Amino acid sequence: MTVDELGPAAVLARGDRHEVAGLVAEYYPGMLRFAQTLVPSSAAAEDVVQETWIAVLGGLEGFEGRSGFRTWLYAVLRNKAYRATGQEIRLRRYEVVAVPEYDGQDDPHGIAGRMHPPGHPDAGHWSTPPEARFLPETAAVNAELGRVLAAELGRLPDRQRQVVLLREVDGLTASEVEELAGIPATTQRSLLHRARARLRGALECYTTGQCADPTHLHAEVR
Amino acid sequence: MTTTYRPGPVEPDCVEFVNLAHQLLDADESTWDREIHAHLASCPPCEVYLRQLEDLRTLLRSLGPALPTDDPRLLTALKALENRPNPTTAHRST
Repeated sequence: MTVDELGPAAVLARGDRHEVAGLVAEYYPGMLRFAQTLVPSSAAAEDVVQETWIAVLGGLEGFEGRSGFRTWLYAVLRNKAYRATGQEIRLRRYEVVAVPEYDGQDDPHGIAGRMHPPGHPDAGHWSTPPEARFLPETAAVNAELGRVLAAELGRLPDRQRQVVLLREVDGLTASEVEELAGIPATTQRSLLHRARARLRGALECYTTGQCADPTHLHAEVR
Repeated sequence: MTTTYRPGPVEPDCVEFVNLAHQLLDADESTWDREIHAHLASCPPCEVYLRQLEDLRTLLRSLGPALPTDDPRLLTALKALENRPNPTTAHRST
C-alpha cells in the first residue's frame, strides 16, 4: 500500500520500513524548503530535517491528530529549528507577526508603468499588456520554468518565501500557517500577493522578455 | 407603467482588475461577479494576466517531487526507526 492509501499517521504507527521510506521521501523536500526559511544555511536546514525525522520516527514525538499531519510535522521541525538557532519559541496568538514585511516594493502587483496613466484617453487600461500565459493548455509542467521559479523563490524576502511555500507549494490553509508561523491571515494575503507578483514577473521576463526588474533577464538559473 | 433605468455595477478597469486578480485566484470561478466575467470577456490582456497567475500556481505546486528511494538522507532518517520503542510495550508501565 502507498502512503496515500494508508494515511501518514497509519504508516507511522505500523512502522513498516518500506512504507515509512515512502513517507519520508514524500515529505522531505517540503520540510527542507520550510527549514531553509528558518535557519541560516542549507546545511543547518538539512540537520534540522534529519533531527525532526529522528524524533518522529524514533517515537519521541507522537502525532495525536489534533492538526493535519503536515502541520504537525512542520511544527516539530519549526521547534527543532528554533532550538538550533537559539530562538525562543514564541508563537502565542498575541505575539503573531502584525506587519507585512516591507521589501521595498511600492508596486505590489509588479505592473508599474504598464497601464495608461490618469488623463490618458485609455487611462486604467494596459499600455504594455502581458503577451502570453506561461504554460500552454496542453503542455506538461516545464522543468526549465520550474528552475527559474525556484531561483526566484530563493530571492524572495524570508516571510514572503515562507508563506508562498506553505500556502502555495505545500497547500496549507491560512489558519494552519497562522498556527505554524504566527502570521495572521490578512498579513499572509499581503505577503502572498507581493510574492506572486514578483514570481510572475520573473516568469514573464524569462518567457517573453518583458522585464520589470532587469536583473531577472540575466538571473542565474540554479 | 414607467420603467426606471438602473445602471448595473460598473465593470472594473484593468487596474482594478489586477488589484482583484489575487482574490479571484483564491475564489471559485462560479462565485465571481458578472462584471468580472464581462471584463475578462472583453479584455484579453487581463485574461492573460489571470492565466499567468494560475500557471504560476501550477508551477509552484509541481516544485519538489519526492526524494528518490536511494537518497542517502532518507536512509539516515530511517535509522531512527531502529531506536523506536516497541509500540506493544512502550506504555505498559503507565
